[in-house]
Amino acid sequence: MICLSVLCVPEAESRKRKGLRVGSAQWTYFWNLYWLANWRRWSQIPGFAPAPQLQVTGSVVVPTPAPPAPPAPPAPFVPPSPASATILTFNNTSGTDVYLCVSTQSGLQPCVAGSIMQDGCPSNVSQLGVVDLATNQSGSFVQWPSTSPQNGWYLWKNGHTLQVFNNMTNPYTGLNNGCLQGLVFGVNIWGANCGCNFQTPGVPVPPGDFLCNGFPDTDPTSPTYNNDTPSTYTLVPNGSTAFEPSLNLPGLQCNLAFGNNPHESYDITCVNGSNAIFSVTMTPPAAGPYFTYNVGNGSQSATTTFTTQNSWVLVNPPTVKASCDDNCIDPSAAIPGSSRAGVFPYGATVCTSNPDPNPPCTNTADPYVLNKQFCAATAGSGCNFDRQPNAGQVFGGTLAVTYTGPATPPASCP
Amino acid sequence: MRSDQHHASRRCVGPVNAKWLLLVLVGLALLCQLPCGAEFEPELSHSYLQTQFAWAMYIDSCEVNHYLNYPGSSLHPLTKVRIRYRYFPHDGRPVNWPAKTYDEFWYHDGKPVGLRRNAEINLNKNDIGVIVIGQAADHFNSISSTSDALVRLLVNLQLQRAVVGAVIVPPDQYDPLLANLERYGFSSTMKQVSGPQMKIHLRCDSGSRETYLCLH
Repeated sequence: MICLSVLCVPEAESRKRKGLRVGSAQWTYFWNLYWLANWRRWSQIPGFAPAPQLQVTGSVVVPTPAPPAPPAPPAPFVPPSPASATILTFNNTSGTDVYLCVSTQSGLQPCVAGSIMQDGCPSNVSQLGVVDLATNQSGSFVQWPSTSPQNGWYLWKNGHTLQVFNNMTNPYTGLNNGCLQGLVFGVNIWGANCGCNFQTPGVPVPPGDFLCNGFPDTDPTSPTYNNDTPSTYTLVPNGSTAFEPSLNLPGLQCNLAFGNNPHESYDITCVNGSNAIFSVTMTPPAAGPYFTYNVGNGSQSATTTFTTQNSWVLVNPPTVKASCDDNCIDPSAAIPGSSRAGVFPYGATVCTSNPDPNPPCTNTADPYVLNKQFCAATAGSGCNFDRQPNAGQVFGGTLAVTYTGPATPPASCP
Repeated sequence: MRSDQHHASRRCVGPVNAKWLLLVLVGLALLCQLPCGAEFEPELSHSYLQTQFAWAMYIDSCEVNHYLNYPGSSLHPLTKVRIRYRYFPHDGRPVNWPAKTYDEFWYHDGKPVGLRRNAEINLNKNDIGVIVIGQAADHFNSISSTSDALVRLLVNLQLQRAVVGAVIVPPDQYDPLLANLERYGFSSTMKQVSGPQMKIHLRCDSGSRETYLCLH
């Protein structure tokens, strides 16, 4: 019998004494109704203990001990960047795990002749930090290859958001300034890989050629871990997309102000092709500073949340057929024919020029030499988002980059 | 006339009249090029698929009138949905792998009643592939059968960590398939949610339409 309280037992004994013949189930039912109806009044009697929580084990009713208090959640990881720094996050909504690849500036160290590195800005991937906001775990990019400290990869799990931050201190101040200067991010491949456009199915890429199809073995238990092997090649028939932020610049080199404009900027570049769709949402601080971008011959200031996105490129390598680029015109623009804000089209180092004065894919052995550029943007003076800092070299706000999935072109040009 | 020809081309043929129907189909194919989906055939030999993807799959359906066709049969008519696949190795292995049949589903009234798995697929993690929706049987249930088979295939591929770059759909099946996928909880409305997600990039094979569907 499952009772609502141990009071059932004396009730049964009392009934037995009086010789009543009412069925046990009926008595239990009536008694429990009576007990429930009066419970509130009885519980107000001083010293009347509330009924303990009961647990049924077979036919034995035992009290359940109070469950232990759940462990306190770990304190959120707080990157060492200053609170006023612009935050950079990466959200993977593609439905699959991918690898977030990053390249820092090309090995130029601060205070070296010709260097553009500003003080306290990471010049190799070990100086960058990553925190997975879904798990609150912090980590770092895996340097690859071991001889090139400017390239790294990080497992970017489906549905997870990463925050990438500066993990070093400015040697002149001893403080972290949050600087993320001249970084290049890609998915499953590092940027600048025009050569992959000419890849012929069935013909392997030489191992070690990381600018083409190669990608390191990411299985930490494998003897070839972090080495480039043929089985880890990534097919990128239309090149690769890159997101290029330059954030929280201190405006100082060797602790001296310099003439170069210490602004923030970012763009999505399909100069070397497109293998991924990035959607970049910028949320500025309420009081600015605000990014500006070019539309047609004019310039717009983004004072509220603003999103831009790249699209596919069809390089069509097998034969010289119609090829096309969907990155030159934004189909959702308010003004028809406007370009995608902050997006460099394929082969356009000067994003508004066609033909480009310095095409990035200049391999003379390229059998598809005509496939260098298909269109240009109509973005006035350029395809970047730019902003000047507020007083004190303060920027702020958030850049949220979402990887929505691979960029797959249609079978033929529209 | 055209409608009848179209209808005939979407029936699975029995063993007796297969030869004659095959001849008729070949003749019809020469005479009547379908406006959509004609570029991609079950053999998956189109150069676009070979150069853009590491693998491809093809889903088509047809009525199976000669199965379980007896008085009082509660499973007639049947729709057979066939999934074919092909690898396009880009790592130096030969590329002349033929297309093979992976799964065959049988549906009655849009509900799955049978499955035959002909092979196991072993896709490399992060290899990007494509699913092509091919010819469908004419009746309404074929779209829901195709949709169901597509969703099952997508879950299968997701578990293998394969990446589906796009689902290419003939224009005449685009809207019905889209509506059916929404019944499974896929939505074209992007939500800011955390945690694993599933996504379908639906694209009309003419390139004129595309829709991103999310399962949150």
